[in-house]
This record gives sequence, C-alpha cells and structure tokens, in this order.
Amino acid sequence: MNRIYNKISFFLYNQNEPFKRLALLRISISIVIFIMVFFGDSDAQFYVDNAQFLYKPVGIFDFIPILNMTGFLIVKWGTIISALLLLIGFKTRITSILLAVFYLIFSRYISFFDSYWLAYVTHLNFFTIVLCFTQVGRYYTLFPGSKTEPGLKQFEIASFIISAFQFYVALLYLQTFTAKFMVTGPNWFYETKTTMYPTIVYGTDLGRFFVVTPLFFKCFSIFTGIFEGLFFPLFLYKKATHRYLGVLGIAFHVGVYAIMGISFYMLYALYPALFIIMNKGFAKQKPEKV
Amino acid sequence: MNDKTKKVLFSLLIVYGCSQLIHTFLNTNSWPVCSYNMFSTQMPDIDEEYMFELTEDDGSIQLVRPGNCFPIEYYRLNGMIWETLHVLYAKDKEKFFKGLLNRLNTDPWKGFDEVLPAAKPKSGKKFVKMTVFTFRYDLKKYKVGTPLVPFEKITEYNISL
Repeated sequence: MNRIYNKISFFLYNQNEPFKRLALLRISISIVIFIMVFFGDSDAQFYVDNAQFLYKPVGIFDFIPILNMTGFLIVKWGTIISALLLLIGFKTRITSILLAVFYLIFSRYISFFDSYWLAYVTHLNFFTIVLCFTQVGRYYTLFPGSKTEPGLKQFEIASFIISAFQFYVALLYLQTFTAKFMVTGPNWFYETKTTMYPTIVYGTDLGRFFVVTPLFFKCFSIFTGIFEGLFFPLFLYKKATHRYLGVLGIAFHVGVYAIMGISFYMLYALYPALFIIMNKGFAKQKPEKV
Repeated sequence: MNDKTKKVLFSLLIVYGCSQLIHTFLNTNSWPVCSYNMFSTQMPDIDEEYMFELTEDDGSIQLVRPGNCFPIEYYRLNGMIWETLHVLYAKDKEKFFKGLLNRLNTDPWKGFDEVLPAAKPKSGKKFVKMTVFTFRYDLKKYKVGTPLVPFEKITEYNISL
C-alpha cells in the first residue's frame, strides 16, 4: 500500500514544468470562457425578459436573486473583462479570483433557467477556483515584472494542481462510460442507433451522409466505449500514455462535433496545456528552498 | 510541503473521486458534484421533437427548430419549452411566446456554435404567428438524402400578434 501511495505521490508532486503549464492553462481557460460568454449563450435581453417565467434557483446558490439588465450585464462583462485580463497575465492573483467568482455566478445564474443544469461547464468552475491557489502568471504574460523564484512548496502545489486537473478529466470519462453502462446497458456501446439516431435528428450534413453505412455508427459507438472505458485505466497505469490520451481526446471530440454537432471545445481546448505540451517525463529539477 | 499536507491533499482527491463516482452509480447530481450522465441514454425508435412554425404577415410559413426561436444553446430547450407549455399560467405563457415573436421581428441574433441563428422573416415582412408542435418521427424509416418527415404532428400551442 505504501509503495502505491509513494508512486502516486511522486506523480502528484513532480509534474514537468508545472508553472509553464499552469500559465498555458490560464490562457486556455481564459480564451474558452471569453468565447463562451462573449459569443455564446449569454443573451442579456432573453435572460432579463424571461427571468420572471423561467428562473428557478436550486441548490447551493439559490440565493442569487433575479438580475435586472444592469445586474446581468455586470456579471456578464465582469466575466468577459476578467477573462481578458487573466489571459494577458495582468495581476493574475486578483484577476483569477475575479474570473472564478464572476464566471461562477454567471454560469449558475443561466443554468437556473432550465432543468438541464450545465454539467458540461462545471470543470471550468472547478478549475478557475483552484487556479486562485497557485501562481499562473509566471510565464506567457504581457506583465512579467520581477518574481521571486518559487520555493519547493509552491512548486509542489502547482504540480498537484496539474495532476488533480488531469485526474478530473480522466475520471470524467470513467463517469461517462459508467453512466452509459448503468443507464442503458452494454448495448449502448454496440448498437448502431446509439449514435445514428441523434445524428439523424441533430447531426451535421456530413453525419447524415454516413447513415447510408450504418456500420459506421456501430463502429462509432464501439470506439466511444473503448475510448471512454480505457482513458482512466491507462491514465493511472502509465504516465507515458497521457500525451496520446490528450491527442485522442481532442480527435474524439472533434469527430463527434463533425458528425453529431455536439460541441465540447470548452473541455478539449484545455488538453494541450493539460496533457500534451511539456508533459514528457517528470520534473528534472525541483526547487531546493522551501 | 510536509507529508501530512500531502496526505490530506491526496485524501481530498480520493474523496472527490468517490463522491463523483457515487453520483454516477446513483444516476443523480448534486452540483457541483456531477454524475456526467448527459449522454447515457439512447434515443428511442419513435422520437419526439418540438418544432416551431412561424407565419409571416403575407401568409408564408417557415418551419424551424426551437433553437432558431431562442437565443440560447439548442440542447437546453426541450426542458425549457416543456416548462413554458405545461407549468406557466395561460397569461404568462402568452406573454412569453409573444415576447419571443417580437424578439424575432425586432432584434434577431446571430448564431454561434450551439446557439442557432434566429429565424428571420423575409425583407419588409414580420412574423405574426407562432405555433409550437411536437413532431413524432419513426427514425427506423429514415432514408439518407431525404428530409426527416414526422408521421404525426401534435399542436401544442399557438400565439398571434
């Protein structure tokens, strides 16, 4: 048991170049949130006009009141501006907190308008909050300034956060695989209709073209099962697989988007920073001073 | 970091993982703990989808997806439409759908990703009526290259300006 814990501990606290990768994550997350809120589902007029009919806060943030136009725009633009400032690396200690708070309120608020509660962005809530506890502005910033060298404790915290985020994503795939198995059964993974029917109804023209070959969708369903089912075990088993899992993850989601029109860029856009770039081996040298 | 802190952090990671998996096994969500069960079901052979019919003032008709009438991500709409049709009082329902019609006429939005573009009336025209249907499709009978045609149309609601 001790041996396993020591191996895990080594993985958690010895990530390669954690500060550079956290900076890349900072950039990725800022861009994703900016795009989602500036261009995407954030229509102020709709949310203000229809709050009286649709707004039903539940759970741990049910104290957020109905927002009028001013309030909604403050939350929306607070998110957008803090995302931009964090992206360029301006006062990252403060802007990371601002983004975490504004985006939490924004995403929770709009999720209370329907019973479908935006699980697909929950990882962004987690990540933005956790990034407040580390240094994300050491690299790739327009405001370098002078920074003291990180000590061993700061290094290990940064490394742990990268590892924890990777674990989050790997666990997510295990959960999606298990949920399919438990709710529908193993037939989810080999029946043609699993992926074919949603493609017919919601999919792209390219996706509908493939309906002439139902075998394509059978393979699609099988591949989904293999990818989601093996991601977590491979992630645990061998660190050398992580970069390939990241690439495979991006390819998988791009493929799903091309065929079924289901977009998940807010997740896989983080994979280069999280799994691929500078993720070979472990830290060659850690700071000595504590 | 001392060993005790590392063990605490490791334990937190395990607790987090276990709570996520328990929610998956129970097929339930307690945000922020998620079961990630969004794609766990299969679509049935007989599928029901909302569709919106928009009538312009010259009588011409457009049949559009719900996402073309709401400036929000289309996959959120089934639950939202169901609520407006079955939960809202009649007066509120009328206000809600009239609001949508007016929005389409006065301030249509551009699409992005899963926010579909607003349906637009022809130049110089405006939408004067909106009808909400449930279309029932037999997906087993779909043929490639042909439009998806429902075998049954159920009128759920209609509103005129």
